[in-house]
Amino acid sequence: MKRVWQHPDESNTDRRYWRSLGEYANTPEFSEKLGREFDPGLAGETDEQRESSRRDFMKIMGGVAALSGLTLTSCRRPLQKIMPFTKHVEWIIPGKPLLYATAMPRPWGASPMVVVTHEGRPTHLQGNPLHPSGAGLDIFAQASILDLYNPERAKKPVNGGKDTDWSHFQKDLDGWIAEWKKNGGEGLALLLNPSKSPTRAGLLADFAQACPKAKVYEYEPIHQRNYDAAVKALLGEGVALLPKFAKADRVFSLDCDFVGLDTLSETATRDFMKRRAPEKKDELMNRLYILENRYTLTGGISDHRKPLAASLIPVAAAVLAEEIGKLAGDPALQQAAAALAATADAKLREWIVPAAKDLFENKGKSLVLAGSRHHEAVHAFALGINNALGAFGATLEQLKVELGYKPADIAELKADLTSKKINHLVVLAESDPAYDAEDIFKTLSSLDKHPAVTHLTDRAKHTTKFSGWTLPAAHFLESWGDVRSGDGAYSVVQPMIQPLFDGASVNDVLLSMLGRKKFGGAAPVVAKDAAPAKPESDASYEAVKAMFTKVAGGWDDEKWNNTLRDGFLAGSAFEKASASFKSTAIVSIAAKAEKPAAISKSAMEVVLTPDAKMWDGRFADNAWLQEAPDPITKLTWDNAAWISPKTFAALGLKKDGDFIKVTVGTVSLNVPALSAPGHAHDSVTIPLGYGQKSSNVVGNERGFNGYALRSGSDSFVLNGAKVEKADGNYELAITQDNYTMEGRAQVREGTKDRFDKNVDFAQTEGMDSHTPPAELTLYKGRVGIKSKENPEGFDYENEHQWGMVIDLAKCIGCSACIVACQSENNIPVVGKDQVARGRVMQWIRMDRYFSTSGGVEDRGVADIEELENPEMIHQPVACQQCESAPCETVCPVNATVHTEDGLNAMAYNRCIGTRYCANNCPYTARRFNYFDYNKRNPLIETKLPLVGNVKNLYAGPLGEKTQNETGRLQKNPNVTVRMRGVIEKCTYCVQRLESAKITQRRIGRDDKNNLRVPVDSVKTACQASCPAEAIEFGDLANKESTVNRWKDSPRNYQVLKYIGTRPRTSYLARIRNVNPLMPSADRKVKTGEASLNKA
Amino acid sequence: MEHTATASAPAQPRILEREPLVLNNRNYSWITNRICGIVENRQPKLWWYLFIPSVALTGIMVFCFAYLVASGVGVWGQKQPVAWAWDITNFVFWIGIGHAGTLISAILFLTRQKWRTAVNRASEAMTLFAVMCAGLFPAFHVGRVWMVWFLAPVPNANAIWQNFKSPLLWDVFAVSTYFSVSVVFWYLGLVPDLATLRDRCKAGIKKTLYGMFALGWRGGNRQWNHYEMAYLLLAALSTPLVLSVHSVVSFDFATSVVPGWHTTIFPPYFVAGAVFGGFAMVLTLMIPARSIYGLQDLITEKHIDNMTKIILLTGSIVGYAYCMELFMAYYSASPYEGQAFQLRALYGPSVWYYYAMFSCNVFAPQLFWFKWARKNLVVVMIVCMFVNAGMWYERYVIIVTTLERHFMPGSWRVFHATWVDNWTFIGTFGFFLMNFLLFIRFLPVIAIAEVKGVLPESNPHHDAHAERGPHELELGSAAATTH
Repeated sequence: MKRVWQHPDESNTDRRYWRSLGEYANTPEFSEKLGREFDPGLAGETDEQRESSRRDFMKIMGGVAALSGLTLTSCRRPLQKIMPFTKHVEWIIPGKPLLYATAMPRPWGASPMVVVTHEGRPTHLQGNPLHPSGAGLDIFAQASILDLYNPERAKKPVNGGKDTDWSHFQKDLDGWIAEWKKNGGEGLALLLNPSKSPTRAGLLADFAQACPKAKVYEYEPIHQRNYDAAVKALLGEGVALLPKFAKADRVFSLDCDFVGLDTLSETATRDFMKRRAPEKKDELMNRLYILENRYTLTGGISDHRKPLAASLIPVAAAVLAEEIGKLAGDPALQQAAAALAATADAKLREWIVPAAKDLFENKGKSLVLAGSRHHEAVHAFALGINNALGAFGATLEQLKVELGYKPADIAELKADLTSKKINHLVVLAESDPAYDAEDIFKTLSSLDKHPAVTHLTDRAKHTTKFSGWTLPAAHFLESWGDVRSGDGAYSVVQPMIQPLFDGASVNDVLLSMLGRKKFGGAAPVVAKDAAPAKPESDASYEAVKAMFTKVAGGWDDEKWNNTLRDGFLAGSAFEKASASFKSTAIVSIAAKAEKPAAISKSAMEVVLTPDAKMWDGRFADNAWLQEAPDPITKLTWDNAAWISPKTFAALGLKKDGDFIKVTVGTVSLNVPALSAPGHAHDSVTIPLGYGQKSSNVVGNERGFNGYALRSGSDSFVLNGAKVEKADGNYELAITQDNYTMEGRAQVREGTKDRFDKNVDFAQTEGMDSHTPPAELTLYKGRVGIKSKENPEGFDYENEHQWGMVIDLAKCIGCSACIVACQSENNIPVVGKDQVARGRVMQWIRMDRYFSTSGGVEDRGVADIEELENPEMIHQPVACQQCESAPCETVCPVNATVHTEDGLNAMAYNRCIGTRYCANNCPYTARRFNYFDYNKRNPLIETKLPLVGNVKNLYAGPLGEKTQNETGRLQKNPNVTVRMRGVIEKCTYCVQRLESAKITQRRIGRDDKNNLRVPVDSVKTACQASCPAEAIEFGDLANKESTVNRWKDSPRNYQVLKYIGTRPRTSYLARIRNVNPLMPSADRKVKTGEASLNKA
Repeated sequence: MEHTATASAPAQPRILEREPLVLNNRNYSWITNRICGIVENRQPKLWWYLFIPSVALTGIMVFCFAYLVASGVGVWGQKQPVAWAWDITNFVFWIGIGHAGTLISAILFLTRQKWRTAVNRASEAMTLFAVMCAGLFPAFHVGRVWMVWFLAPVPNANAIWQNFKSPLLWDVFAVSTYFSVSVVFWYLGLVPDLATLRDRCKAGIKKTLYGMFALGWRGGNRQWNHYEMAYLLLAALSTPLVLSVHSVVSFDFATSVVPGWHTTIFPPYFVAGAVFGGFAMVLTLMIPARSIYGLQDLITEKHIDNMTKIILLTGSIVGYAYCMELFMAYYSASPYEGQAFQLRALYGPSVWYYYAMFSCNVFAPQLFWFKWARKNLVVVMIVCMFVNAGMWYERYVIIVTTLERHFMPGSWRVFHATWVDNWTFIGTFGFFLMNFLLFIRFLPVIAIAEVKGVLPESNPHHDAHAERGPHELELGSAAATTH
């Protein structure tokens, strides 16, 4: 039924108004046109076409829908609540992100970052390329955004187990302040983690003035106390050291995982990896020696590595010091080291001597580093060696630092607690002291009446159990603050969002204790038309501004705005220091070192290390980190004791996950064991941070608590441990079972020597020398560059052609890209059970291979030394965006197709989930939603009638379906949240590419020749996060692009090129810079040549 | 010419004595009574003992599928990189079983194998039920069952058409065509017999229903004339389908790039395997059925002997294919292909499946070289059971063990089935058996009209004509006149 438009009667005036001449003349055409909804001229339809118009179609379809509604449809009623902005916020365009610069405070400084916000919600973090220390983001910083949206965050101040509000706390606080004023803060103690925040330091200094009798304790679970002590003894107070990897040609690491968990500077990875490009003829490739008890990421990228029990590291340090002392003519150093070095065995010396020679030959360009967990003597030796090698001022910079207040050590806290000097303990630490400094809290609970504890925390923790007042902490993305990075660059931490759960920052609490801020007061409900409370009224903001004034040398609006925009204050780095080196002090420190304990089967050592995902345990409730596979063991959701395969067998263990009982002194711990290639014998590594007991769904009772094994809070290497087989096996969710490459040359590497002799060795490895020429193909497909001969090829003239290169020489395997991708692309967490079933959803898979010399033909004959110290290499694998994609031809419903710009696109709405594409993908890059991971909480259990408790995913429609309301705020609105039953995979961040293209098209409206996205201006999430800058992405059709330059490298190769899929992602072979004088170096050289000949 | 030649030669028996296809000189009415009697009389107790558990298992199957749809494909054991496992294994297994029926009814019909008449009805029914079981798996294995209509070429608002390059789409067409043609073929063959049943019924709902489905069959000459022509045409139509369906199913694997799947031998190998497995299943069902219902005179040892010979032949073809696969893996010099087979047969995680497959499918049927084995029904049953199991293992080996060891060693993983995998598969056996028991209960298990055609009485001439069945008289009349 066509709606007839009644033209309103002419108004009863003496004038006649008309809209057109047609109306004036009142022609039949005009009245007909008036009745039509759309102008036929616009729709371009004839009368005949109109006979069955869109309206008719809609009518018929409406009828069909109504009829079918009687039967089956409408099973699923979409129920959505939409809350639109009634008043639009400035700058916000839905779908367009706003970027802000800020920094995440870290124990060693800061992680400068750019926050991507959508409609006022931070959704993604990435490195700040403007910042001098901005080098991607590590996995912790990358994942920290999820903590903001943790639904189990502390939401209200809690007093004695009861929820109250801030005004009640303020009332109590007012009483305390009055008391402190009277007694000068007698009995008050503050416990914090050290921070590089000038504002916080200023507030603590003010606090020390206001309450002179109160004490401030600082501690970090993964501390650098020994290192700091050595620096203080040898260089004096107020000096910090910053290694300059960009200038180091030779690096020797004494169990220092500087690209991984022994962070010395934010830029260590970037700068070290910059020197791993063998093509650069003008720059010498660096070389890394490492001694460590277990495989670390640094060990993986090293050129020479020897597994050495952590207890023997002091000996190794002494041997190296002795050798360098001999070579450099530093008798003081030589003498200090002599006693300890004498205990070294010949093999160790044999390994160190040529390395020492190499270091000395590169005097002034070499650097020796020691792991933070080791004895002060190790650090003293390392500094002495650096001094002898002329590293100070060259590869090791001295910086002037000043703290401004005097914190006490946590060891004093224990004494003060025992002597009952403390009656109120305010815990403002981000870490969980009751868990990671357990003995302190054991002391606390042993007291008949323990002091009042006030605890600022983001979620329920061990410490919470002791506290009277528990205050909700704000996330760093919710509060004002400031921080200095390792080199001193001053950054302002700016809030991205109002506190979601009414949390307060450490600065807020300190300000309130100083009486400069009042909590509570008027309810924060804003009157209907009033603007929201201005951030200016925030005391923390004022404090930061005051500090900025101090740091910048006076207030300057422009400077302030620039600092906020760029993420740092230009020219704010620390001044350089040039303290003289007190070599004599080495002797006294070396004398403190005990003779290393003998390590044997009956008295093993236990090494406690920070965990690659939990750090010291503070990330336990971060599901992304829990599910990210450990870079070395590929273990998720748990930790385990790492043992060398030989010791593993000697203990009578059969398979990974078999329990062992570790006894140190009187404490023992049952922990599942994991056979770890490259581990030192009779040594057990237990990553810390696991085994927490809380009420939180994500972090509760995951793994095993290594802290429980030690008696004090400062030791990481425990000797004399008794290790024996225990009963049972624990299911470990490991994402990669297979260690070897089965001779398939997915990963290619060679020595520098081999590369120099035969630059394109990587292109002929494996089956690649047998690969038919690219143009030889059975059927004409859309591959290659469009030309007269190849009319179906990709259009490089008019389209962008995206491609990626991953440099394996630079990739350290840290897995930050995995989390970055998860954050950008709304990838769900699937939980331990699903990971164990092989259904992890992360689009990037970090393959880790161990290698020994010889191919598969040599299976079983590799000599024992090789097996005990295999080389390790990582390879990130995501969708390779094949031009001739095997997944596309097999999809029956055309759900995966190719785009003009060379992407292998995935239409989630069209996918029915036959999974054939996943089978036919040679790279196993496709992931399938076996359950509704986004809707149904995979971490909990549901109680079903008759059956009892089942895992929620398996409860079907009876399970919990409303999970993670707050987590939804993190989702990227430009990426579909996938439902169950569909395949997903890497898209090269197509949302970013399209957004860039749209922006460029807008520019191109005025300039038709400017339709190309500027070269290298789009970055994928993984690329932006990579701290090693190992991923390059860009437009292959643009000759200028970096990705093209990388593709031209002789090291460039495609994985499984033999199948002819023509992937757009390729890899650069890893090059190791081998020192021919090292023992077993010939093996490495030979290995390279052997596989070369084979190819 | 022929006459002159025989005149000079010594007298010889013109043609070797053939074993009669119906024993004990049974006449027309005995056959009718015996076969119709199965439908008309009460079922033996054993029928109920089998039927009730079958219904229960069907219920379990329905529950498992409902659970799958309600929760997600994850209730099965699939993982990366094993995205297909029992689902497609079972699909190929059942579809293979569904091959014997049409082969017997179409190819043996065209090649004038008269012994087919005693077994074709039941094996066609078996085919239909097997294809029904098979079809359930691909339909339910997809992630979004409610969207499977995307596979049908229906115009839609997104203007996305199907991808005709995908073997899965070929599958959809191949299997649905096969099923519909088989249904029509089977039903057409049933029409005269349904009329017989109708005529024997007293008035009532039974008579109405049989009458309705008998389509007014009166058995007149014209009707027989048209009927036989239609039957012949349908036989000709189904013959290529027998070969095409399993060839297309094999393309699901052969057209992929996965080492272990990417092989040109797959189509003939799969077809042979399907016939092999199908005949084993026919024997598995018919040997008990003939003794329960006293059909030994109709389904004779000769029938069983013939079928075991086919099993021996196709089993040997399958064995040849296994060896050829191994040889090609070696001879191709492709390391991926070579490793795929080494892992499958030598040191992979699931080697025992390979050996189970090899011994069940290749070694067990070799017993049929011996006449005593072919005559001994216990041995025949045991071998058929081995073949049934072996053919499932074969599909498991091809699908699961291949995917477990894909291109990227870093992602290698071993598949473990869940209880839902197990019970869904077991449930389909219940569904299959339930259908088959209902078929026995309500329809003639042997083609009455056709089996009568092989009686000596049907060929009054007892000469060259005698060896031909009634169907071919029209077709073969030109040839017959040469005598």
